Amino acid sequence: MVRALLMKDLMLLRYRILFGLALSMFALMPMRPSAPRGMFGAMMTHMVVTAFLTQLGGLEERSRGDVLVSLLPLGRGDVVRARYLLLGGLAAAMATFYVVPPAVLSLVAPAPLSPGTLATWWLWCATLTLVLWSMSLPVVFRLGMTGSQILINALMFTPLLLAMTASRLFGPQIQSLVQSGWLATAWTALGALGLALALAYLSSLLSTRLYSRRDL
Amino acid sequence: MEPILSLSGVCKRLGEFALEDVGFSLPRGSIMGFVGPNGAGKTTTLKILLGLVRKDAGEVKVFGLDAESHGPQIRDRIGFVWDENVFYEDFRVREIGTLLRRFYSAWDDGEFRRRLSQFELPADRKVKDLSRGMKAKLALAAALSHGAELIVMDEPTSGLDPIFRAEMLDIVAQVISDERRSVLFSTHITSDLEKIADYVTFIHRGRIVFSQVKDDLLASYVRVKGGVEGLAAARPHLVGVREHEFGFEALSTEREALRRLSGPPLALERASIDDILVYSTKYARAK
Repeated sequence: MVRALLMKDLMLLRYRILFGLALSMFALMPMRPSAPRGMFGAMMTHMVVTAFLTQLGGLEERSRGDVLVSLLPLGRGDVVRARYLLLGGLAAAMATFYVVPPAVLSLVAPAPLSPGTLATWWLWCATLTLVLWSMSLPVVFRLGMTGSQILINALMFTPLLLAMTASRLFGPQIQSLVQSGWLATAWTALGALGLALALAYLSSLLSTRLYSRRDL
Repeated sequence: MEPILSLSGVCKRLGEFALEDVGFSLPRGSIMGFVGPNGAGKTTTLKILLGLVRKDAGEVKVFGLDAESHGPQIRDRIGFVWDENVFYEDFRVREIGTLLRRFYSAWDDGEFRRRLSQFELPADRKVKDLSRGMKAKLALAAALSHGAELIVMDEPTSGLDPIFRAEMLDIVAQVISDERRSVLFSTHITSDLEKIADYVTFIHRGRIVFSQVKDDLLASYVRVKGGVEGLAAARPHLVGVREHEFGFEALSTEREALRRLSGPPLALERASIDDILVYSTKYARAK
């Protein structure tokens, strides 16, 4: 059932995903193999995933898809799990998308990117998206997409604030971490991804609880 | 035989509105008209039996299963035709089949194609380009393609022209011809019920006023017309009365008592479901 719901979401988004990927190519233009811009990629990943999920909510609202989903033979837990899996899948896909082109470019560049740099970048991209959406999805499941628009739009710009705050507060530490080698950075990022996944899991439990109590 | 659905003592409070002690049952192979004014609680009751709204008290059984704890299993065997289109507007008609196939355990692609052809629905047209009547037919085609044993219809004929409505009613009548399926049909258009319903359940202000066999219901009520001078004698026998300048029109269940009254003669006519609903509520006499 969760797979069927995912397929439904992808069917709904099919043209938009292609269009989004095409647009995202422009975001890759300023990148150079030597400067993959981790936080920039993470922000773009988050924003593209936000755009897809907001579009999905809009499409469902326009067609009363929430009514259709509630009338289908689905448990409420299936609906929650499918939406979190879609979030995770989009985050991973978009993170991969932002990593692959610079990696390919780096093959012909004088200073190729190390696998560690790419892995670290990938982890940051997925982590940020998972964390920010994990904060908003319980509200979506409690109030519906319409009631959550403000929060979602506010969260669109949160990475920017996070980046500015982090560079002001922890700039030197991050620099020294990056300089100390890709392995340490990758391990830190992996830890962050682990925490993000744990947060997403807890968030999905909360969403299931809120959604199962809600009258549809 | 066990009814296909039964509700008893169902209560639900939603702000100012409350369903109170709602109960009725629907036997297999029959059509029940579920009627009531706007805001009477029809859609809330339908949502409770589909497990979408949680009741505060009472029992709801569909196919003998508890509606709240077996929601997905029950909805797998229910077809729905909602008052508005609920299918994705950008999908083509055939894609609706592709979408629904993944959700229903007994989905039959061949049956879906047959129904599309029977209802003259163009498979390649987008849902948003279908007329309102065609969208209702699409919902019905989908409901019939997964072997639904119970079809729940919420205002399916509202906004349809008379020809489409007649066609829909014919289809609904065919649907139950195999005695296996049942239809719960919520509507404002009581003339539709007179054509096809076996049972009529009337809900008003969150309470069931009556739930009975349509023919018994129509036989038990009589519409009364008389002059001003006849009203005083008739009044104790009336369920509801509307007085006007020249006399009165009313509803009664006491046909023989009215015939035996002395004084000016009263005209007794067959009551329609509309009469029964209006006089039982808007013009109801305080007992």
